[in-house]
Amino acid sequence: MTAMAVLLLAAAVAFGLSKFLRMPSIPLLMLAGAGLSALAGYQAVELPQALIRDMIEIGLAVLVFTAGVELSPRRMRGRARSVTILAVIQFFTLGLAGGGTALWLGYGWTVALYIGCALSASSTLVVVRHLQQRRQMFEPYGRLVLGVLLLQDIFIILIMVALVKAPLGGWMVVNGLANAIALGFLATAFHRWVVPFVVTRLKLDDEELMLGALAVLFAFSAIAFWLNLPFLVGAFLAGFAISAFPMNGLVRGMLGSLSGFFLALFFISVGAFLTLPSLEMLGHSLIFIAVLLVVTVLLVSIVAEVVGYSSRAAVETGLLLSQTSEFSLLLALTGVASGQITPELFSMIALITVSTMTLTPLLSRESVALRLVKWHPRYRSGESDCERMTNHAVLLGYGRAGPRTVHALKERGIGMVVVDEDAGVIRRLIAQGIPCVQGDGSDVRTLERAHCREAKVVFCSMRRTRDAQLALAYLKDSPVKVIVRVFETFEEEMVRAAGGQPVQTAYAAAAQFMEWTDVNLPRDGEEKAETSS
Amino acid sequence: MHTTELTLLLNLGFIVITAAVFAFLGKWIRMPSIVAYILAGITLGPVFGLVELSHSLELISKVGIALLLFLVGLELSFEKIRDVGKVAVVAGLGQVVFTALGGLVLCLGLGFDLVSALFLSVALTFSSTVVVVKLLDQKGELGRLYGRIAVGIFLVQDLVVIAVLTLLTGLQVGGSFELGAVLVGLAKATGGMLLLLAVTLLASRYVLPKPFAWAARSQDTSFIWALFWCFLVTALAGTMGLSVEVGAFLAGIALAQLPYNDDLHRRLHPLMNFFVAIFFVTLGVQMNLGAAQEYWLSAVVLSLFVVIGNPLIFLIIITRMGYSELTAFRTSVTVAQISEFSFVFAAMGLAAGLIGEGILSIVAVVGIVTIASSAYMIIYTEPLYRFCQRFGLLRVFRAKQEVEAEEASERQGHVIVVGMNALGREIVKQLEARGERLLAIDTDPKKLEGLGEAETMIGNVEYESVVEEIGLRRARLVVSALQIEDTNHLLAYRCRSAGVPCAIHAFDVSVVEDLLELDTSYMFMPAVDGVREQVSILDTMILPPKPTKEGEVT
Repeated sequence: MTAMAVLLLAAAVAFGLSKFLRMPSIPLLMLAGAGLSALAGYQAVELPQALIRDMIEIGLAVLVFTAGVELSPRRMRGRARSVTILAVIQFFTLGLAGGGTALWLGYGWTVALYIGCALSASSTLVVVRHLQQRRQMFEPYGRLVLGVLLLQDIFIILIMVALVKAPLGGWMVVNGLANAIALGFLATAFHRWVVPFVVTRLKLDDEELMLGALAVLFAFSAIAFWLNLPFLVGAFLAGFAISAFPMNGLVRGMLGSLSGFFLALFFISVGAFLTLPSLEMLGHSLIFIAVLLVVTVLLVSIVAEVVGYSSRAAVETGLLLSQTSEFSLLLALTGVASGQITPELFSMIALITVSTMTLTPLLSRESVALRLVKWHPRYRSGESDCERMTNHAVLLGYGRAGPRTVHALKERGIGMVVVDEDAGVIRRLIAQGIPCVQGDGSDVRTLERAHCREAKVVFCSMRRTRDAQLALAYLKDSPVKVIVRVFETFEEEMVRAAGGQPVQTAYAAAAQFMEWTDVNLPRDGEEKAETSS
Repeated sequence: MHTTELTLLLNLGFIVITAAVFAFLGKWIRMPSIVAYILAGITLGPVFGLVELSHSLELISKVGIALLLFLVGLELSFEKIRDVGKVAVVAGLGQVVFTALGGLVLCLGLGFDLVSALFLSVALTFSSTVVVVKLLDQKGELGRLYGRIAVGIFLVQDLVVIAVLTLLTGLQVGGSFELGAVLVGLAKATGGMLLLLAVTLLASRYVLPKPFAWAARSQDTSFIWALFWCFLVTALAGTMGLSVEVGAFLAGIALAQLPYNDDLHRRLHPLMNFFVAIFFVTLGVQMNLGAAQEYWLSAVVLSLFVVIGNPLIFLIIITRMGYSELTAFRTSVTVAQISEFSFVFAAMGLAAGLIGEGILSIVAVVGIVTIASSAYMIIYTEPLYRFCQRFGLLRVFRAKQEVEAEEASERQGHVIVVGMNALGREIVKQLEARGERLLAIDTDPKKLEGLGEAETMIGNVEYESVVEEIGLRRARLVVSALQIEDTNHLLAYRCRSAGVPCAIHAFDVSVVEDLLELDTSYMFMPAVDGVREQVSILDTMILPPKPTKEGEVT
């Protein structure tokens, strides 16, 4: 019990610092674990090695299982093409760059493969938390990032099988991959037929749902073990097997508690397991971090734009994906367990993971993205000629409200131009004959192209208030009226302070809803009166 | 790192899969889950020998017990404890004395020697806190009056257990007795108890409120901090010679005084369920049934004594203290089993050479029989009470018939609003003006401030326990202003299953199709609704006024 309290003390410190410094918790948990280990060494006290081993064992299973539960194919709906292209190009190019650098630094082929793969995957836990905090989960680029992360997890799992089987020969690699794919089919069958049957036919309470989900985890892990696959493959596919809605939602709360506990102790234990890398390895770590950052940001920015995203969204995607993953640690642990890599190399991979995860909140700031976008060599050619436009209306962002606003403007005989960063939206607007410009509505160059300062009115419907503030700053000394759509009350105040006219959509939606309730939800008293009559 | 060995995962795999199979099969014959878990353990241990108790499994079991008692403590405010303190002490101590004496006489009557009879009678005396708390939690009745009395009684018994175990450790192999060691042990336990109580009371008042208020907006932080607090106090209790149960319970009480206790309780509950399931399976794994056949008659007689005698002793004590017949009956039913301590106690006796293996087997059989039967009795207390009433079996106690008034907390005909962003707050405001009974929920306590008369609750609707607590099935309407796709989908699904209309925030085009598939009654589309106001501003503030026929302007 004391050992558990000590590990939880380290976790409590890490979470406290994470909240205070607004940093991701994973690197801090690992650093807290390393600190605990160093402190124990200094005081000549032995850490509870058995407990640390147990926590790594269980933590690995829970980590992979939880990732599998989030692997709902629905998340990629409508974006499968762009997600697949980006994920494949990023994963394999970065893998080649990482592996090539490792070979150049004098590592062997197997180690280079491990390093390449470890660098290829980005962290689902860090990125999802970041998107949630900035309320960008459901923005087009947020969905693109989520899709890429899901595919990366699948790649890592398959590569893990190949790497573990590699010493046994090519045939065993093929055999291992075939077994993994067969298990994948079993998980798919479970996902499609068994889970819906269980959800609709059996009324399970919390405890039964949790026990059932964990039984699936251990059953698939056992089958993987029986097929001579790493048990983590089974754990991941078990997660996928129950990832169908509503089962994933029903078990999420319960698994959230379990994973919150075990993952905290897992990362603390991994931190405690680390050894201090040599100076040479520290130098290598810096080189790998540089390769990871440069290749990811550059490559992802280019590919994301090619598949139809705006420059800014593409750069933000690149910045957000520029860290290694918890799955990189998992792969490295598998390598240590199979004797293919040394604990020191594991420590180097962990160091890269800690560093890049720590850098993520700093790199993925809007200011960094905006600075990088300015270096962009060209902007897309204007879809509409706005040269002669004056006294017109400019719509910054089209979205769902766009068609109605366009309709209202047409009714009033006001000329307009729509500015949107989504290539798909621009294509549709061109087809409908609506004047438009593709670009970022917060970028001065785009605003100049739309001749915003000569407009009568600017409707700003961009998701981020920060974007609206940039547009307002550009239009500050002009007579143009800027109407900005906001959702939260504090955003309303910010817009007003910047000289804009806010439209609080939450109030408008609530008013509309109240009209609906008047018709569809009789007042409490009325209902009783109706019942009694 | 030996990840290839995976001993713990292998054991956990066997335990979880077998427990799930037994629990699902048991569901068809309405078997309480703990009985299913113990049977799964007997199958894995004594029957097939697939799982052996390791240090790691023992630790997981202990964590389960700690979390279970921590959650019990989390539900109890100081007022609730004071409320049942007297009856808990009187009934707890009274039952220990009467059961021990009755058991001793019975065992001597069955032909056991004095030492064996003493061990058996003490083993029969203690009821299982873990079993009862788990069952009451399953029934959702831990907060009821009888639930609180039962928990109080078991904690008093836990303190007696500590005294008994301290006495036993003072007994050397061969039967010699070290009075000094026993007295030191007892003094240490008593002093430790008082010290720990003082520490937790002071912490709940001066140490914990500010840090937890700061951490409350970050769910992960408050979750891990609560767990750390639980294990810190439990570890401290261990160093003072107190049990895991006492330490964890006091840790829970300290946090129960904070406004976030309910949310913490709900979030820790699934974790506790997992660990406690492992505890019950390992309890089955440990059962030593080697010499059970030889002593079957004694085992049956002693089981009947526990199942019938213990509740009778309690009925007498509690009805004499002025509680109603129903409350006394419900409380008494909870003590009809022996405790996991009884196994530890008997094993210590065997190790000290004071008793034979037969006594240990009798305790094991009595344990299985009484835990299984009392589980049914607790789950089906109400039908059992009606049966006893029908045949006039309770008249002899001459208890009062008026049941104590308890707060009715069931919500009905209310409107639930989830997510206190600008939309949620505005809806609460407008529905309140319409005279609706409202319940506003958010995971962030700060966002629930300043909502007028509306009832508020900190919580995450992804948890089934929260859904039960908010009375979703009895609501008139459920509204979600959240901008979280998965939670909104799940809420819409639950509303459709319960036949309750729901209004969900469709914050993006991509979520509309799914919400329509889930039969959402109304979808908020703030972006679209905002256009109306945009156009109104355009007409009134930007466009030149239109001249009318009379030359006026509008």
